[in-house]
Amino acid sequence: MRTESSIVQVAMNRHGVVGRRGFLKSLGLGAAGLAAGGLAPLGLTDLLTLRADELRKRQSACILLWMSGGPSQMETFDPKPGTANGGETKVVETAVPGISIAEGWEKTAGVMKDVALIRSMTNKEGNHQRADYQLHTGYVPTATLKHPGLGSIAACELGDSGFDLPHMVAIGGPTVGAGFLGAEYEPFIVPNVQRPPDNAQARVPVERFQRRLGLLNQLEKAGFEQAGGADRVRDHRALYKQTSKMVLSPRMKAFDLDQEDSAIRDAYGRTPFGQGCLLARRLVESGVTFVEVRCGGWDTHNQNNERVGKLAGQVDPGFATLINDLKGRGMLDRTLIVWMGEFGRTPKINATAGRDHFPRVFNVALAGGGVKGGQVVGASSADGTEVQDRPVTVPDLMASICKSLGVDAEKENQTAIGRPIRIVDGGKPVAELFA
Amino acid sequence: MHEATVDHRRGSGTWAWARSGSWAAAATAGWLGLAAFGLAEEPAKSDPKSDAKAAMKAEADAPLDPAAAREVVQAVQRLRQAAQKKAAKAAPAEPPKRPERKVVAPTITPADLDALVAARLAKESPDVKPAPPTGDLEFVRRVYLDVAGVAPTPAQVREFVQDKAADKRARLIDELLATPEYARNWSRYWREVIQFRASNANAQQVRYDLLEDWIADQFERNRPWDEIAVGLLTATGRTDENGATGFTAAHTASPVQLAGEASRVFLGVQIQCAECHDHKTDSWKREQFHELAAFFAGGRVRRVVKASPGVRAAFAVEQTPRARYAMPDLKDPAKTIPVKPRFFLTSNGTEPAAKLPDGLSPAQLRELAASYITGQDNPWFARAYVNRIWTVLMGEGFYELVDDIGPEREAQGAEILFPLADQWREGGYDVRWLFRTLLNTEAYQRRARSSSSPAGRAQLAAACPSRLRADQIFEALAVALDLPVGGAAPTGSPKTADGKPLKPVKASAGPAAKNGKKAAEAAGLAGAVGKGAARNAGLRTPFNKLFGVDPSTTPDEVLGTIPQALFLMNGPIVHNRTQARPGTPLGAILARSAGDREALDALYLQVLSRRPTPKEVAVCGEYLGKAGDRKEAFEDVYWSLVNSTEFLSRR
Repeated sequence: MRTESSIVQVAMNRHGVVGRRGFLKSLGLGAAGLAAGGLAPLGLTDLLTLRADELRKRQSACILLWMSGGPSQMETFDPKPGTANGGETKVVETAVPGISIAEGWEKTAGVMKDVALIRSMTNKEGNHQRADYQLHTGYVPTATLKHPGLGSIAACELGDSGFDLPHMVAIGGPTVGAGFLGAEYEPFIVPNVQRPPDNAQARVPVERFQRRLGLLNQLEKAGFEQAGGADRVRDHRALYKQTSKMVLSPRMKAFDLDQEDSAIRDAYGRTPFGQGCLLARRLVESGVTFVEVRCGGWDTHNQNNERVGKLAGQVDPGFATLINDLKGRGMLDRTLIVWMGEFGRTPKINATAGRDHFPRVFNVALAGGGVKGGQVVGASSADGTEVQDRPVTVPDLMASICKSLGVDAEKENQTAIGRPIRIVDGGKPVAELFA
Repeated sequence: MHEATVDHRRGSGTWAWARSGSWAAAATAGWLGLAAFGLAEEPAKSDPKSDAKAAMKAEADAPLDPAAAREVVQAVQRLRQAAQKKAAKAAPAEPPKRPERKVVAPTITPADLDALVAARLAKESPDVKPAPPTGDLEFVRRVYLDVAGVAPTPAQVREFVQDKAADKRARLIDELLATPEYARNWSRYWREVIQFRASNANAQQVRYDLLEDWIADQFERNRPWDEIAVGLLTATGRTDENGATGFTAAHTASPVQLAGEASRVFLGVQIQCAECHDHKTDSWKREQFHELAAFFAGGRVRRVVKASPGVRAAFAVEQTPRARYAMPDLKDPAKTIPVKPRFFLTSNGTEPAAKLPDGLSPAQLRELAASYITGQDNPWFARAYVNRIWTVLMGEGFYELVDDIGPEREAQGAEILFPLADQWREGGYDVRWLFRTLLNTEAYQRRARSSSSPAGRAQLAAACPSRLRADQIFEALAVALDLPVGGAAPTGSPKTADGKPLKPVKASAGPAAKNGKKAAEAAGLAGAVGKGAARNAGLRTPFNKLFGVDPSTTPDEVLGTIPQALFLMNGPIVHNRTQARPGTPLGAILARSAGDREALDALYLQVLSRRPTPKEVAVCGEYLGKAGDRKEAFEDVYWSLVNSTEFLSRR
């Protein structure tokens, strides 16, 4: 039993480093030792099957609503009415007495009992690309080492290896990738929610598609496998098996939004973001572990209120309907929804009625996944320039997300050179969220 | 770019300089109409704040009264004097003398290398019989892909096979090494090495296309590897004018990132692990890492042209006149500890490198770092390069990873790598010589074996098949599917230096798509279109995004992805071009072939540059026999070959 679990451990770590040779080495066998020992060679695909599936068969899922560009906290969930910095923004009362948010978010206000707001997020990074990386990975970007994004971490930790759809899907464009976790956990990107994913449908009738796969397999056996390519063929065959399983999977209909009632499609909002939220729900329902829905346009250096107003018109119905819909289907408890962007925006309104980058104070909204809704964690100061109460750092947020998903934030993955990297470095889960 | 905070991790040197009062001097100088640069040199020791305040006050009080004007002039004088005094005190520092490069022509031959390989095999794996030499068909595809990054066309394959000359392999190697495609193939390799670990995600600031062009130009002129590395490490100027700035721009001129990458890429030593603490398993100390980073202080990437309608923003890599470097104090995060530059590797590996005099400028330090890294007194620069090229060409090298070698790692086969690398270093880092020597060895020209055979398991006894890089797959697809070449389309067959095709080429012409995004969508590559539109409209950029893999990845860890498999399985390009109809390769093959066997031979030659084996002929024969529709059955064979492991591999 002991040996078995250590093999599994090594196999699971191979994404980083312990490749075919490293794996053997870790068993005390080099290439020479292997040859001398006459051990049957192991392919990476063999290692994959060594994985302990029971570790991965958790049902938790996460939907990240990514507000690309940095959403203004003042015009979303931390308004400051009646102050110079607060500007013209009015507030709406929510379903939870004592919590008010900015106007334009009426639908979200209606589901506030399920939403926890963190108004005391704080960070130092005010550059889009770097902050985007940091809020996805929990680490500041460095050369030589590429950290995995949250979605890839969740895919790696929670995804069931027998599942026939990708574990991590990004809707609306590319996002931070799998880094050193490797190709297997790269996000599957759906650039446009209105179109089926690229190349996902067979071009020939299913029977012929299967015939082709059979022919391919036979030709590989007769050809390259005999001519020194057996290792490569084995990995390629595993990939084609997985990919064709996906192409032929009945779950692929999750990508087809036409299967939904027109009323529910309307409720999500007939916008790319709204429909993206609906697709996210369908995917999670089908067993996908992590879905990111991206919404651009939040970099409001000018005409902030006007632009955020338009964006809220798309995000508010999508966000609120997603919460209701998941709840109605009994999925909210096991599905964490995270609403955030890479930083907040300056409290002071600039000369072009905009707000600039401001990482020192920003806000994040969470719902589902065991998070206690109807509460506000932390507070910003009256003028919005400082965290007044209970600062929450990026690693704290990451650790909280891990806690909700049942991912061990302390776990160390290994990079290609055997450097141990914790899933989250240094953060503590925000206890109030789970009280 | 609105930077709300100062990131202490990068460029603490620049930061220190920018904060030390230069703005005050610049403000004064600007008001007087002087060139800001003349004064922005160094902070004055006298009180720059009060001087500046006087000047600013004067600026505000218009019209100017004589007293205020006098005050301003005096303030400027004081600043000047202080700067002069400072300059006199820190008399121009003399960098230490570095040894001149001496060139001793290498004498090691391919046969010598094979003898070393044979000796190691005899010692390490005495019972293993090495794989036999490749046949012409295997060889011609392998060498075209390895050297020129393209698959040979059927005509090129036929011509090589029909050539009866005894030295035809050596001749083909020389011919390919003289093509621009050789330079382009390897410049793409190095562009990827840099790009995959870039810490600067702002696509506007780094011109990877120009970086690739610059490296290609160096390889084409066969500039020695040390000169290329020095060029990359020390380049300054606008990123849209000098492609060599790409290396520094890829890391926003951050000393910490540059130190880590310069060491990893050029020396194969991953000292950056020691950034935050002494290395856990190696002997590198935290100080040593920061002493290396100190060489890279004082650089910056600055926007020199602001974007406006019709004008693209432009950026430049610059060196500030002076810089200080400090590392974070682990005991007190609010403090930093000044660090002086010192190189961590020494020729004998024991004594610490010489201390440097104070007062060297960032430009001088950068040149010194480049000299320490590439100098002939440092063996790791040559070993890192030779091991890397060997690993790519043979499918396995002397270390587990190409970028984790150095004195802390044990080489498997140091008795081969070290003499070869040492001679190459003493010979002045001749890039073509190294390729020619390796490509002409028996070791390179052996057949591929998998780990299921003894030769496949033993080091150096067989070629290890590895997956092609994205650019090579793109080019191989162009040949297999007869896609249009030119422009942002595949480069196509190798040409001689004057642009004439090297060997008979048959390529259909076709317009490259103008709208990159639309073209990518139509090609089933929409998901691979990044933010920041590709500069070269066309499919190569999204294709590389989809198929790209960091070239520093160990070959047997390079696995395909689902979107890649989907592209080949169901993508419109493969689907449309594998149809049997007029105007497609298969249509032409079926029209001109007398029978199934002839058509099958032609198809294999087109896609895999070889003839089918008897077993493959049997499989296809049975498939064709059972199929109701012969054309459809051939389409299925064609589809299978393009989707095969072999098509994506070098073997």
